[in-house]
Amino acid sequence: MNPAALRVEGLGHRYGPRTVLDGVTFEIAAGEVVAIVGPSGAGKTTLFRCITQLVRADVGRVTLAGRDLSSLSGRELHRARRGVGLIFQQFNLVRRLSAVDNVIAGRLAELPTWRVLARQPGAAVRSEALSCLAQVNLADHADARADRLSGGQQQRVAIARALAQRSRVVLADEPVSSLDPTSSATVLAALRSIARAEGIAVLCSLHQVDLINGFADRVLGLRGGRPVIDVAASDFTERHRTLVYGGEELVP
Amino acid sequence: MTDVAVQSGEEDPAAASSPSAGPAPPGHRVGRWRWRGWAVGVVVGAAYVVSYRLTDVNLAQLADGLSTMAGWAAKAWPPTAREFPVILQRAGETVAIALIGTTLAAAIALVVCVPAARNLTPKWFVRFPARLLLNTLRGVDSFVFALLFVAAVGLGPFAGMLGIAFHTSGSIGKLFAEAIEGLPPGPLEAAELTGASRLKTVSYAVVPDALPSLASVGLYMFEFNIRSSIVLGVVGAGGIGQQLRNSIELLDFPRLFTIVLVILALVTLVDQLSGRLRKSLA
Repeated sequence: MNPAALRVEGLGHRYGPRTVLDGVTFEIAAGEVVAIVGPSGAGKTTLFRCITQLVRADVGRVTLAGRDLSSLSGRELHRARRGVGLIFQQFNLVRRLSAVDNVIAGRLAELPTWRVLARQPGAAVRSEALSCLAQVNLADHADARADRLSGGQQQRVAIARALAQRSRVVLADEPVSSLDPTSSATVLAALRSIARAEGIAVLCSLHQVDLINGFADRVLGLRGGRPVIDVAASDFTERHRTLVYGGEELVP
Repeated sequence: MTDVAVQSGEEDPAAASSPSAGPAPPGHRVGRWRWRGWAVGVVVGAAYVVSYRLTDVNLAQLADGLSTMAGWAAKAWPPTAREFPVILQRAGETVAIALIGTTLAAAIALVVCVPAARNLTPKWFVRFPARLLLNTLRGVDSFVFALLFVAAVGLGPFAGMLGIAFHTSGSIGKLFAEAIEGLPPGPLEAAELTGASRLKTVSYAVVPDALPSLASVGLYMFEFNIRSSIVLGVVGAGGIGQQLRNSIELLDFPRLFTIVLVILALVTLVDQLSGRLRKSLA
């Protein structure tokens, strides 16, 4: 059987006296989309930082395509990180570069230094970047400057960048929380379609549970750093929502 | 006096936060502040009195001097066009000194600003020497550098250009570092997480967004250096300033007037052009 694209086992972390993660365990298969929900401060962002090893978890293990990231450091960790594409809430595009040049940034590690300095990535890399843009339906915006695009378009450029990086796992930390509902829908649809088409494992934190339907295959719920639910998205009910957010949460 | 004022200022919050003392009576507090205000007033007043003495202010001398200058001004009219081509050539020399000097300074600054910027170089033991170098270069005026270079490489525009380049590289480097520190951290972090080297991530993710402000800083310093290179001529470092000094020494006032007019036109023209360019970069 194939190893899971991403496996997290018994992850736990404390900031001083405060436990932010406690016994988080899950697996994501290639091509699977997993939504992670939980109130602010539930540990979602810390979980992401622990997976990329930006924060070293106190206990537990993170395995990427069968490779234990927790045991790597320095150059090896740098190399292994390339397998993880990141999508940020604030897009983090280089504002004055075109959409396609931002996508090419995903290949920065492999490009020779002179090509990066001269900003001459070469025809092969450029055409690959263009096809990544096409996969998120932005082929006709390739030469537009990033800061001229709408928020939803910028986030889709960021998804294309993760594609260009040939990541096997994409982590998206609140990718739609600064977007309007229509843009949110197109961004999540783009994430889902690259997961299916390229067999990429997607872990995506969401603020609104009503976005789960039609996007995620599975839902993880964190509360106070503890995993409280792990169910198929189709089985996610009002009862689960209460488990994660408590009764008083007013999300429709 | 200042010591006492500072001490009383430190006591105040301590008294207010200590639970046993309770809030200080309002009258007492206002009294203290008023006392402090007087103390500051006395110190500032004393500084003015001492400075007035040290600058030898003498209004009678000024009145005499003004009438002499009025005489010169009368003699200066009409300005002469006699040596106009030479004066224009010297003005060109001044622009050239500023242009080459500022460009060389920007090239040096571009290298030093990377280790000096906090977001690109988190390690203080790398950043500290870079900052120290920039501050030293900035702290020594182009005038002083030019004097040194006149002694080292001889009179003429070359010494002036070197003086401009050395001093300005410190100023530009500091402004470059600050411009880079003002950029949002996200794009750099995103590029770093792709596993690429420092040189690649900085050149790809930082340079494009920083470029307009770097160019703006360069233009601003060019304007500034046009004005400094005029003064540099006075110490024999070439340019129109040298002509200005000659005219004063020869008491050739019509020629002096022409030179002043050329300088005004030059400074205005460069400021306008560069200001417009900078606006289009924003």
